Amino acid sequence: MTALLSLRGVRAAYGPIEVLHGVDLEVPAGSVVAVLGPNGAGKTTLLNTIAGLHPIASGSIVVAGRRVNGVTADALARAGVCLVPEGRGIFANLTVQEHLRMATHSGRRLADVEAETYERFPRLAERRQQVAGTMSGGEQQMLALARGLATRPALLLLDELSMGLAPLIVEELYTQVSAIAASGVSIVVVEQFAHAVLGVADFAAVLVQGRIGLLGPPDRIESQLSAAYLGATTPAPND
Amino acid sequence: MHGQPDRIEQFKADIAELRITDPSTARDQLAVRVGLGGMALGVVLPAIAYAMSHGTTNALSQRDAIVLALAGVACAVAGGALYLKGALAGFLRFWLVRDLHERRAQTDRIVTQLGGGDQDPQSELT
Repeated sequence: MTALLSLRGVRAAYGPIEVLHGVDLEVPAGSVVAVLGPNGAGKTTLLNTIAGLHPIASGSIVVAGRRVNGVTADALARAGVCLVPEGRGIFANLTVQEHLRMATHSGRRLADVEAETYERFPRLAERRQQVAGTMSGGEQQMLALARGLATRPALLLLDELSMGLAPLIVEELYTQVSAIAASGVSIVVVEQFAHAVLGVADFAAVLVQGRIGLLGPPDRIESQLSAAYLGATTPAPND
Repeated sequence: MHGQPDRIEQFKADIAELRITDPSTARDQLAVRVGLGGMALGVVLPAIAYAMSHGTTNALSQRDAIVLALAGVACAVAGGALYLKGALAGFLRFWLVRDLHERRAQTDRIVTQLGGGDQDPQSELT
C-alpha cells in the first residue's frame, strides 16, 4: 500500500533549539500509526509540523506523493489534513451545534454533519444545545473529534486524545478511532501513555529526544517501551 | 462514513493543486540576510563616493559621487527595514503561538474550576 504521509529526515526547531533531529516515518493509507514517547520528546511538535502549524527546518513532508514543505496550515486543512490538538481546542462558550456549524466550511450541509456526528457520538445529541465549556472532558474530546471528522479528513492527526480523561472514556474514544480508521481515514495518534492506543494501532513508533527510537508492530513496541523511554534503545529509524 | 477511495483520490488531487511556497522561515532568513547586505552597502558606497569626489576637481564626477552616496543611504534605509521585518517576523510568530497556548491553558483552567472537566488522576497511570 502506498504511503499517504511520508516524513523524511524532518527537523524542526524553536529558535536556536532543535526539537526534531531527523524524523523518518511512513503512514500507509487507511492505517493507524501511534507515535509514543516521553514528555518533551517532540511529539506535539511533530504533529504541528505535519499540519503546517510549525515551520520545518529541513527534510521533507510528503503528503499523497507531493512534497508539502511550506504549505500553509489552512491550505492543508482544506485539502483534508485535520489536527485535533492537545487540550481539545474547542470553544468553551459555543454550543455543540455551533461547533458543528463551524465545521461546515468544507461545503457540507449542517444536517448531514449533525446526523453523522450524532450517530457516531449519541452523547453529543443529548448535549446539542449545551455550551461546550460545561460538558465533561470526555464529551469535549468527542466534540473535538466530531468537529474534525465533519471536515471529511483524509489524514487525521490526534494529539494526546486520552489527556486528563478517565480510562473508560479513553477506551470508548479509541473504539471510535478504530471505527474511523476502518472507514479508510489514515490516522496518526500521539500519546504519552501507550496502553490505550496500542490496541488500535497498526504499527507504532517511539519518539525519544526528537528521533524515532523504535518502530514496529504494537505488541513488540509494548514490550520494549520502558527501555525506549529510559533511553536504553539506540535510534534505528528504518527498523 | 463516506466513499473513502474517492475521498483519497480527491485528497491527492487537492494536494496536487496546492500552491507550494518556500517555508516562511526561509523567507524571513532571506530578508535578514538581504537587509544586512543593504546596510553594509550603506556604509561602503558613501565611503567610495567620498574617495571619488575628493580625488577630482571635475564637477560632473563629484555629482556622480553625490548620486552614489545617496544610493548608499537608500540601500541602508531599505536594508534596515528588511532586517527589521525578518527579525520581528520570527519573534512575533513565536509570541503568537505562545499567546494562543496561554489563552487555551487559561480557558482549560477556568473550565476545570467550573467543574466541567473529567479530570481523573488515575487515567495518567494507564
